[in-house]
Amino acid sequence: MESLQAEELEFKEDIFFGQVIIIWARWFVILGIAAAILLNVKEPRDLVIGLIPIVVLMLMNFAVHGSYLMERPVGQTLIFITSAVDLIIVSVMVGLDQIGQGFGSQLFAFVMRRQWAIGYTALTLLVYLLICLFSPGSQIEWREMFVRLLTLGGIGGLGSYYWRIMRSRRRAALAGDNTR
Amino acid sequence: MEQAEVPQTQEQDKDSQEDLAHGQIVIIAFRWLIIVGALVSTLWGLGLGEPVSRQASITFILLIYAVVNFILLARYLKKSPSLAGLAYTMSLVDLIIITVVVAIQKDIFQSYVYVYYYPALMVLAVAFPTSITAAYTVGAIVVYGMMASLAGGAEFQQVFARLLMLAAVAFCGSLYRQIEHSRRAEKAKISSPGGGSVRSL
Repeated sequence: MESLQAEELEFKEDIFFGQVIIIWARWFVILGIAAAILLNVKEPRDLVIGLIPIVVLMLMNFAVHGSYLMERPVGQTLIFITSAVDLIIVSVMVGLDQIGQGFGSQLFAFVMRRQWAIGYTALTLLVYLLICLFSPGSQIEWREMFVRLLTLGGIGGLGSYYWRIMRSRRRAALAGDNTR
Repeated sequence: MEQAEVPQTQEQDKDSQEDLAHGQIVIIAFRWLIIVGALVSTLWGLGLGEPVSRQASITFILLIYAVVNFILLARYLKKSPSLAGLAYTMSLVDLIIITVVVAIQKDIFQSYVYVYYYPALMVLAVAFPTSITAAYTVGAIVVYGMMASLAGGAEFQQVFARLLMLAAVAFCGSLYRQIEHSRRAEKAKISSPGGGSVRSL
């Protein structure tokens, strides 16, 4: 019973401490998307439409960051939802004709921010691949696609591996054992 | 006062050494990833009509790189003490290799090889102290930024997005390392006699 409670507490701590990294990663993405959109504006309509994802992400991040600073972290469900919104917005931007051109889009760099959970990483890879496959006018160079997917997946896999190492170190520290 | 500072410094050194010891296996795993990726990519190039002699040279270099990585892995598995200098140098070599491969591409700006910078910076950010991570990241951003910007057909917006994400990956990795460090310290404090309390969530 105690072991279950300890695991639950550890899981909650993971969510709490992991949040701040997601929040900071999202600020970087917002800055990047804002630059990408504002530097591409040619017509007033572009600016209005382009502002939508920025405003959505900023509002979401203000709320989550504010809660974190007040030490009232948002729950696990909301974190999954906000991460899904990130993925959807970046994917839509990559897939959009005017800005992204599917596989030719350089906005895929935004997908490179930390995707550390294996399931989320796999989903990200799949979504990115599908968008590149089905974007109108997108021509895939498969070798380049392989390297992109490898590095994206690599960041997810290596991050998850590091998290496991850190978890065992924490447990060892709690048990009073600091040896490798 | 000075006497109290000495054990604290020793403790910090020990912490850094342990971080390095645990972080280096992630760097080694990253290196296998880059070796496999580059090898597949090189062999793929044969099917696309790229010169065989060039591909053979690249394969040879990759195999040497694999041997070096295997030696580092063997050291880790034997639990040999981590050598900070060696770890820093090897990570610098990783970045230099990526940079050289980017630089020899026909079209530097269009080349996709730069994506290897992302996992490279991520793994060193979680293993090395912030100052070293910052120095390597700034170096990679400046060098790659200059190469990509000066290349023909470069677009500012795209170069900016790439560089911003390089900084983001390194920043988040380093932040994660610091958070894990504090969490571990807190756990160690709890386990010690008369330990403190857990932060309420």
